[in-house]
Amino acid sequence: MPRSLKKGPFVDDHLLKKVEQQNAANTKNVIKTWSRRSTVTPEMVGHTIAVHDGRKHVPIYISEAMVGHKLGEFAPTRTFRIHSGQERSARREGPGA
Amino acid sequence: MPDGARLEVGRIGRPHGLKGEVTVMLVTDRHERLDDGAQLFADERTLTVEHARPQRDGWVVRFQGVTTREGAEALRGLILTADPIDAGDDPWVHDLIGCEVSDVSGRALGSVTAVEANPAHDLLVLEGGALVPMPFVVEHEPGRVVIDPPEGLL
Repeated sequence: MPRSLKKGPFVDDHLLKKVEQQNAANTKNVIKTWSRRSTVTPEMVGHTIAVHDGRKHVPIYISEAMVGHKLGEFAPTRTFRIHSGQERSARREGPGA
Repeated sequence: MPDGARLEVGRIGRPHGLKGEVTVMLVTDRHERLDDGAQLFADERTLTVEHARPQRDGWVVRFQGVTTREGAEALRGLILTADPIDAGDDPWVHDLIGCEVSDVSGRALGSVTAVEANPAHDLLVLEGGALVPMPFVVEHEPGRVVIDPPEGLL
């Protein structure tokens, strides 16, 4: 069953506070967080949030297409590195962006 | 990567069915590599794609001249390579690896050691392990990348 709309999206208070502080000061410094469970909200668009993947913080530039997803979706706990001999273009945006 | 060297585009998996089809896992994001008539290389062999269709996470491909399961079995495990194609403005991962990175003020930040795939955007891995999201790349020339990172990224 999905979350009740009445409650609104879940965002950890400590993260929301940092985003609001930066929006008030009009700054875009990297915000470190361990809160993988927080939902991406429109206030976060344009910020860079470093989400913990269990080992390190993965910096994620938040775009509009990510709104509604959880932060943890963008910091996979298993990393996939592309080798130099493989053909692949470097993506600036996700497939849905 | 030396100029003109072929790039790995995928790997042949197990045979599929009895008519010579094989499964192929692509590493490239260019699906035109499996267009009908496309030429791929595996070791010393040249393989021409007769037909390909997506299935689950990979592709089922029939190569010209391979019509039996035994023929398909002989291809199992081969790495498919192809000649590089011109991507226009999109930077290729193999072009980025080894590039010297600097910020917009000219400060040297080391070189790119790898590129990490991410659902949001790819990440450049710099010497020392720092990660730089691709949206912060403002300029890319052969051997050189300029980034405009926000405060606190590096």
